Amino acid sequence: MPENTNRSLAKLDNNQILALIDSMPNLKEEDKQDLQLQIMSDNLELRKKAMSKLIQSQQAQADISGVMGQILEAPKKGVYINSKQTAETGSGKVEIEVKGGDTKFIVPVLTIIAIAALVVLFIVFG
Amino acid sequence: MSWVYRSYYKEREIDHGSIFDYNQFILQEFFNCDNETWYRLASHYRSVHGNRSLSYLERKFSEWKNGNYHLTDLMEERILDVMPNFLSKDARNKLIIRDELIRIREEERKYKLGLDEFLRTIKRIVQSNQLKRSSYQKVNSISTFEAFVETIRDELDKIKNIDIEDLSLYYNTDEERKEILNIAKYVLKIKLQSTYKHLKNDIELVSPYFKKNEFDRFKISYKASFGIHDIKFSNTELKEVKFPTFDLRNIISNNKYNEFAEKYLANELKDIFYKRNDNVVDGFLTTTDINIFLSKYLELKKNQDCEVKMNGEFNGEIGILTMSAQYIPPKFLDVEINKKRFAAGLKILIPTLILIWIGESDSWNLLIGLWFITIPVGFGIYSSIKEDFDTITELKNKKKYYA
Repeated sequence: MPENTNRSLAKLDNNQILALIDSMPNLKEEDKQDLQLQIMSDNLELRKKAMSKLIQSQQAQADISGVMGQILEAPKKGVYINSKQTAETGSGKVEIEVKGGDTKFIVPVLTIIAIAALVVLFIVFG
Repeated sequence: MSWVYRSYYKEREIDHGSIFDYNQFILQEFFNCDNETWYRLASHYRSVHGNRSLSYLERKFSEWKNGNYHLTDLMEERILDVMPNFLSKDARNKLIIRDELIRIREEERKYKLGLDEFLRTIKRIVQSNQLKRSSYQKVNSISTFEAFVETIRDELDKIKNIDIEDLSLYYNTDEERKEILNIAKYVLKIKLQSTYKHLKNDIELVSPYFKKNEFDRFKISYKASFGIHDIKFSNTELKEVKFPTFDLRNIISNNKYNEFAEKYLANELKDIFYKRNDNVVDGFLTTTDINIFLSKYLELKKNQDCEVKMNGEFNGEIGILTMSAQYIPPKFLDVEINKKRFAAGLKILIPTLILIWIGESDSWNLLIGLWFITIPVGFGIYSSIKEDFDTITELKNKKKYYA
């Protein structure tokens, strides 16, 4: 687990609640034990949840890297790209939209479309 | 013909260790009394109810005892009235034990009702005073650290000032009323402390990203809600701030419901701390994910052939951080400008040609007749052309900036 992740999970505080329960003089010993067990079990559940989030985040990072590889390769291959990718991370989502690549075909294509449109308009209204 | 209920005496086994039937016990003592008791009882009975009544009692005694003849209400009432004065010592002790059992049961009943009222009132106070939002309350918008800290202070003061003097408690004393209030206030303060900690952690985490940046179009905002308060920081530079501490002293309960009060409190605290940790898990990857977002953006930006647009939404411990960045490479700007010019040109040319055609065919009446279509369409085309020209200006400025 990365170091900063460990640091974040250190905020999971069970000592305070355990100390509070322990300091209650009128609480039966069996009730204390029962509560302590529940707290430990909850803590395990939360760590499991944290792990799955971490895996999700790493998966998202890998997915984005994969897509980025393709995007960065596109101009070298001389193709125009228009890509939109959403990745669910551990704490939310990242959406990447990339447009671009080789632009040398765009101007001629636009010119041809413009001429074609003008011809059509001339036939219709002329 | 009317139905008349007739009661017959019947000997029954009585559990003297429980709260037995008093009338049955007295009647049994009466029908089973020894001779000496009987003589004394008869003498007393005669003096109270007369000879005739005693004769009737003596005559029917055996029949009643054996359950062969119904015992009238009047006679049962007289026996129950007289017999307690002639009970044996053993029978009296049994009645004393019975009375004690009744007293204990009554105390238990009152204790249970009191405990129920005690815990129910705590829950009610917590529920009605905790941070919550209702549709009829005006939302309070917060956009500065100072306002946020002040709001938390106000909420804490509200908790401190909660009063339940007007609340009717039937089974709890004034001392217990104070205890109820203390426990409820403690739970509310712990809950407020949780909210404060989450928001503080979130703000400390996102603040470094709220700085003037070199990104072309970079938008950032943080939103969180607690109670009627909405906290929102948007596209601003957040300076480092020191948050005041929010510590609480442990509560000491001292009342006859100690065990249950502490059990309730322990469970309530367990749930609050679980929620606290759950929120920490929700936000523990925020920094990692924001860093992924920024590093990938910068990596894509290096590729001068692509326009990059990225949106990110990240959950903090309690709020949501949204970021968006857009980069258009200078090389791509020319194409974008030409595309927009082309689109604007078409949007001007087509309506112009249509107007020429209408003029030539003298169809102005048709155009005016269809005003409900032509006017909105005209406005639509006009705003679209204006938008294209605005974008062209913006892209030209950007081009100059990169140059």
